[in-house]
Amino acid sequence: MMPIEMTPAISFFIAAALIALTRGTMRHIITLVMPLLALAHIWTLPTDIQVQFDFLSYTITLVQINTYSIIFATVFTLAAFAGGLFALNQKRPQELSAAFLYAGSAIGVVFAGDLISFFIFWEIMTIGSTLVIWSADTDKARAAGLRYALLHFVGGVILMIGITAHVYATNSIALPHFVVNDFSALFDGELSGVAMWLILVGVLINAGAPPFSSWLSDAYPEASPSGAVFLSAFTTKTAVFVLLSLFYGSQILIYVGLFMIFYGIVYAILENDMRRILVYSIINQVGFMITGVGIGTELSMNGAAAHAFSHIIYKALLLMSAGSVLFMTNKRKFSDLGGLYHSMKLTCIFGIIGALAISSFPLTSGFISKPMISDAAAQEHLAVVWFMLTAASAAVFLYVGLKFPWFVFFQKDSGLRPKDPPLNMLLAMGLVAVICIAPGIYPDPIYAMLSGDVTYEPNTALHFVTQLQLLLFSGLVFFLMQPLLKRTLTISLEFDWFYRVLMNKGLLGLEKLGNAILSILAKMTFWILDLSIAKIASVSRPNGGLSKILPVGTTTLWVSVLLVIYLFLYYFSDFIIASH
Amino acid sequence: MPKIIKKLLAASEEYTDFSPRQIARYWLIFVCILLATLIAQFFVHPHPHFGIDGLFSFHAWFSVLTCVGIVVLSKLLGFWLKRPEDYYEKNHDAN
Repeated sequence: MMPIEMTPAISFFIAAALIALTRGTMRHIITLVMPLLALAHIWTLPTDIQVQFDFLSYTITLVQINTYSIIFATVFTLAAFAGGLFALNQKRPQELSAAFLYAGSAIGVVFAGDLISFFIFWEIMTIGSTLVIWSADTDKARAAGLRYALLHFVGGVILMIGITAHVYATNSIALPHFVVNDFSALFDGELSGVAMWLILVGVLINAGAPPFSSWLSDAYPEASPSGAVFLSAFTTKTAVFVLLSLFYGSQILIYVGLFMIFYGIVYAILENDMRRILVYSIINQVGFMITGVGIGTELSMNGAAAHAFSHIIYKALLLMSAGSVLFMTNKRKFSDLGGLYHSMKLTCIFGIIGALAISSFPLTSGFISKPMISDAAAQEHLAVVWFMLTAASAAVFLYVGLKFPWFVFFQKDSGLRPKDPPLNMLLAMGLVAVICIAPGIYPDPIYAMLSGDVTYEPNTALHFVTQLQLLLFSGLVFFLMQPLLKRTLTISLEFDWFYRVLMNKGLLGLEKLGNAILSILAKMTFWILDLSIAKIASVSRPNGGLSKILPVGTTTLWVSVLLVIYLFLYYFSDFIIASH
Repeated sequence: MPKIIKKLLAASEEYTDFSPRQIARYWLIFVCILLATLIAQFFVHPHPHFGIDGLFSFHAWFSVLTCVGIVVLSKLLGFWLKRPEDYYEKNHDAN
């Protein structure tokens, strides 16, 4: 039996080290067994557990069970297990090792009971995820990984300043609860208000909130087929967990969430890269969760947590399906794919299951979680929010639920006839496909992990009819508007344009300006030097100023002038010192 | 067969590899399912929250209107945001 007085992250940390040191079957066994041990550990934690120790003058709470710790830790562990299975034939061990470090630290965050241990696990996550991106071992991945790391370390610094200021202002490292409804706390001159905002910004950067969402679509599509599966699971959802713990009921999150929802949709509609579409749909789906956190009722927050569970699983399935296509064809653009249903039958079926789940089709996991959030908006009479959530729910089917499987597996035949991927990849997809469907039929195990007594009943005739109308008519629009949805060989600019192009050009411009100033200065220096040399030469030559014979009287005059200046300075300095 | 349906079927051939017979059959099935979801509404009891969502087939026409709106909006934003694929490489961002 595992020592219970430890964070459940420990299994993953040990696994990360062992995977790096072992080879072959041994590594496979570790990859598959350690997440299961972690799952057992999580499920046997006593509900009142507090693993604490003293550090400096603080009591660090390494493990405590917060409201949504169990559901997030469970789904993180499942995602790590399925991702590990999917990555089993990955030749480079560093990716799995980094992925387990990453998974472990995400689990560390959800059990952290104070701001210090939360922050430490949060930063290890950045290291693990950056290493996962770099494991793809391409030039593009290295560059995107560096940009990813830089942005996340900036986010970490902002968070760190926020936490430090908060601890200074309140003298407590306990997990606080903030309510941010508007910007007033920034301007009322209190340190705690600024601290709260810095913490919010630090967390929102990891959630992929505007304007810092471009790191997602920049870095994730450059990861390896299995790397993207791990990446999609942890960072943004850990941020959702932290928002659920620290910022629930903050109105500002409703606006942030709604913005993300439509941001994801618009960019996904414009996109041609199959995995980048799935990444934009992360921003979109996390937007739903953040809106739920912002509404802040028990139903909406339970909806956000349940949707995080559903989302991690179906997004893993979608990215595995896309990853299998990439793995077998080495192609990632819709414009190069099509007609793959002829030969990749199982991958196609799994992709469709994932697409149905993300669209919240009845009897899938998405259907038991996402409608909780819009129903909560209706209960709170938030009309605009409800209409926007409903419109977005319809659009999800169009921009990813249909777009992804249609352009990869159907549409015009590309002539490619790749086989289904190796067995371990198929098994991983099969496993997550089951977890996409099972909760849709029997949601109780998911609801049991939520807060309070969940009485929500998703599978009613009314829900079925309204949801099917919403989705199928969105499908009608998809097929009728095909000419407008044609894929183009383009990318779309995002906020990172400012630091990838504008700042780059700005720096180049500054460099040019600096060079121009330097050359002018150099010219001036030479001109002055030339002039002085000529002057010195002219006074030093025979009969020049210095060679002249001067009368004694002139010398005496100059000596007395110097003496007067000296005396003046002497007394004056005394006077200044005395006046101080 | 009305002209508009012929046009729709011909357009569908542009973006699939299904045979014209298959396309006609799939469209027929799809339209039947759409009608079925509309008819099904007579057998459930709606609980409108905001009035307008209690109107007949609200979710169907609201879906069509907003999806068309979103596609058109995206397309318009695309004119402003889209760049060639090698845009960043050309802007000294290769490393």
